[in-house]
Amino acid sequence: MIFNNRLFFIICHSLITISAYSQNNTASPYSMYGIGNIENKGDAINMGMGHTGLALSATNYINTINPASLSSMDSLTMLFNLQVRGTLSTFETSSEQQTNFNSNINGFSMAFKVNPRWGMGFSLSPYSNVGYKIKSEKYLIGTTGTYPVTYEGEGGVIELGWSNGIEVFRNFSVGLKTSLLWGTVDVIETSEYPNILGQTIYNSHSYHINNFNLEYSFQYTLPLNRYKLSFGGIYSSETSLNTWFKQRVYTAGDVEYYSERMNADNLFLPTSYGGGVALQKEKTWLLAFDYHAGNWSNINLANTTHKTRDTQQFNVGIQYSPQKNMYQSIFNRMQYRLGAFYADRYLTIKDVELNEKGVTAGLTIPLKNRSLLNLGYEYKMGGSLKNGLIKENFHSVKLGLTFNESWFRKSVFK
Amino acid sequence: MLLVSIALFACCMTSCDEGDLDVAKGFVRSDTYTALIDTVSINLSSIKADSVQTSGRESGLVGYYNNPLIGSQKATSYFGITTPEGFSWDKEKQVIDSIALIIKPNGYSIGDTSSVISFQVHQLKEQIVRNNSGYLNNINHIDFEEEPLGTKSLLIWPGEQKSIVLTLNKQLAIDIIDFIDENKGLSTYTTLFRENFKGFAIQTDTLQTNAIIGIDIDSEECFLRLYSHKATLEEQEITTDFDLLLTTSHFTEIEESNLLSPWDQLTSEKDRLNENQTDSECLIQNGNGYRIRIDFPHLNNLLEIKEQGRIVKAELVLRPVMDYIKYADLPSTIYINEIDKINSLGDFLYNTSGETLTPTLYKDVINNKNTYYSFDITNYINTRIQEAIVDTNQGLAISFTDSNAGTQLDYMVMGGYYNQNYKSELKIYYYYYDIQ
Repeated sequence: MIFNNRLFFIICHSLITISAYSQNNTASPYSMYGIGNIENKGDAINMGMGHTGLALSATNYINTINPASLSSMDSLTMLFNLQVRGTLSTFETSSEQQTNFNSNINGFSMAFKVNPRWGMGFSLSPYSNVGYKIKSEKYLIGTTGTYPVTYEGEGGVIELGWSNGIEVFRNFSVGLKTSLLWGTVDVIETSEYPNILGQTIYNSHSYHINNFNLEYSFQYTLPLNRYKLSFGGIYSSETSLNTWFKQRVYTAGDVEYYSERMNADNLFLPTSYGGGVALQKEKTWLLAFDYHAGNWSNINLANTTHKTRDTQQFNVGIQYSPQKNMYQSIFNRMQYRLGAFYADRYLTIKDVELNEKGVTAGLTIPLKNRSLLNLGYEYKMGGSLKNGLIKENFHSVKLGLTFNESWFRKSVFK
Repeated sequence: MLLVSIALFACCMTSCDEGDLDVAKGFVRSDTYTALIDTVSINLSSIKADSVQTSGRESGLVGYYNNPLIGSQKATSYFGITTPEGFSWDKEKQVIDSIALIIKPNGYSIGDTSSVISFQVHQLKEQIVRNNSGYLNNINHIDFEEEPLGTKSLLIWPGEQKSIVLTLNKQLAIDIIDFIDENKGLSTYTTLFRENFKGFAIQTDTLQTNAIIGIDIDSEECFLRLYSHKATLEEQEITTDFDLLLTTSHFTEIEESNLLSPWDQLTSEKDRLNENQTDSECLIQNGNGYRIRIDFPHLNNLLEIKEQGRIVKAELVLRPVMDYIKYADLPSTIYINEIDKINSLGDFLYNTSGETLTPTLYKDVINNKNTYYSFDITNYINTRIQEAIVDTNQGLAISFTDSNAGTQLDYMVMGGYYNQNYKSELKIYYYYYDIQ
């Protein structure tokens, strides 16, 4: 086994960075509700194909969308995957616009084969993101005036996942992902009083969230001459997230008025399920379609009075791989992807049902030692200008590095 | 590969934003709110100091002013006198011409300066002696001869600072020269001089005069001058100035006769004249020691919500009754002290920077109804409600600056809490937490 020092450095750095900087995301004003905006799973490859992945087998990359796919890994390799994402987001109201840019490490995963039928993987990635800064005003009760209030939130939930995929019988695998979810969401409400020259008051809530989550999945592949038809499914039951928070009320001079740790109403993840189908032609063309649903209407979000609703998500993607011959031009050895998606958001705000839709593109550049450099691009629209709400546009680029280490290859000659 | 990795890492931690995002109400759920609390009423009352120090000041007062609101006030300035050093008199050749008391107005006046002011200078019957505390105040009186040594009537316009020469009876000059001639050389000469010439009181009549003016208490400007000449081949005019012991003996007596004024009921420093006895009008005046006392009888109400939030701002709004004062005459600042149950003044209130708390003056020139002084007493109220049981006998006192106490008779009437047009009030902006 050849242990790569550079890889070790990257792994350690990733673990620290994801933990530390996952709280720096600026996600969306809508992320102030619940646990925030739930991240699309998968790496740059999945992103390029419209975030599909339920039915995609993965021989030389880690498909974190469906743990059952781990059973199809090459048994001699150890895969490492590092994701970096940059997002340029624009938020609009009917009169104003805010532009944000942020980038950070978006995930790290590793996978290997325990035995020819059993693939195992570990992953560390953001599960949800909270990031917003918006201004509003409140009436100064008892007067005709108002005072400005700023709401800021940052943080999110991190997921440490342990995935196992086992081939139960030929072409049929089942998967189980056990995740530890934890994180902190800091919410600060700043009330200023310029008209009465009053002291600025900060009211901060620091929510701490944790629990385990289980995800069950399967994958089935049906060979059809030159084609291969795959099916995938996933299910996760409703999960309660243990939640407590610390509230502080203080002034600009950091004079503390109030500080208390309290239990909060638990947050919930809904029962969710999904199914996918993929059709592959001789490792050249790959067409995939995913459907996801979430029973959010049963979920009572603790920090909002807005209604929740059941969600549906549709993802479609296509991949083209010209040639696999290593002596061909680099462009012929690359993989090209396109995709699109539509997703309901689980909130109905001011009677407006929110959703998001977007298009994606991506490519994979093969590197030495069967490692891959994956690029994904996504343009996403969301929100609404109706009833004073906020419209969103996102341009995101995800860069993924898949290191393919031959840890389990035995040399014949010494 | 390593270089690529490092580059990725380097660009992984940036975040920036541009522009603001204002959202409509209702987008964010927030249970906090800020409200103006009007349950903390205040009570204003007029109080009056037993006395106000008027000695040791840089200016004094002379005159009479009959104010229709606060009654008549009469100011009399008292001076001691001493001999000049090295004084000599040539009995053979030197002849007395006249003697005059010279004073200089400092520009301050109150009352009707368009009418004549008739000055009267009287010789004191008693020496001026300071009290045990080392000063003299507005209620001290020294007997003086009824017959004035000299009188003078003239118009003094507001702001005028031209010296006034009050010519005195020539007999005074003769008496002084005779005394010096008889006693010069004695070791007790100076003491004997002061015993014989005890000083002067300057007052005005009360028939013609209806204004009070300020005078400089400065030895360069205020003195007794003897005019004489020497009858030689060429007549030689001589002036000799006698110091008036300004720093040690000058003081102003201020007499009030305000029988028709509601504030006349105040007879002791410990008295409070509640606003409900004075048509919800309270008086501040430095010369006679009038102050306004503010009590917070319902401050305990705040204890009930103490755990629910925090005072963002406590604003004490004091509205002058503009029927009695012009905008130009509103003092730019007034002072606020703590005061106890028996009206003993405590420390000034201070702002968060440790400076004496001063108000902001807002002038409503157009409507004439919303002119007010605004004190930010947030720290004071926050401190008060930390008490287990708020002592409602503790209050605040409003006064003019001490530096002109006893040297000016300006006044201001402040509307009380129940004054319909000029209501003074405590505005408490309270931030309610969203605690569970």
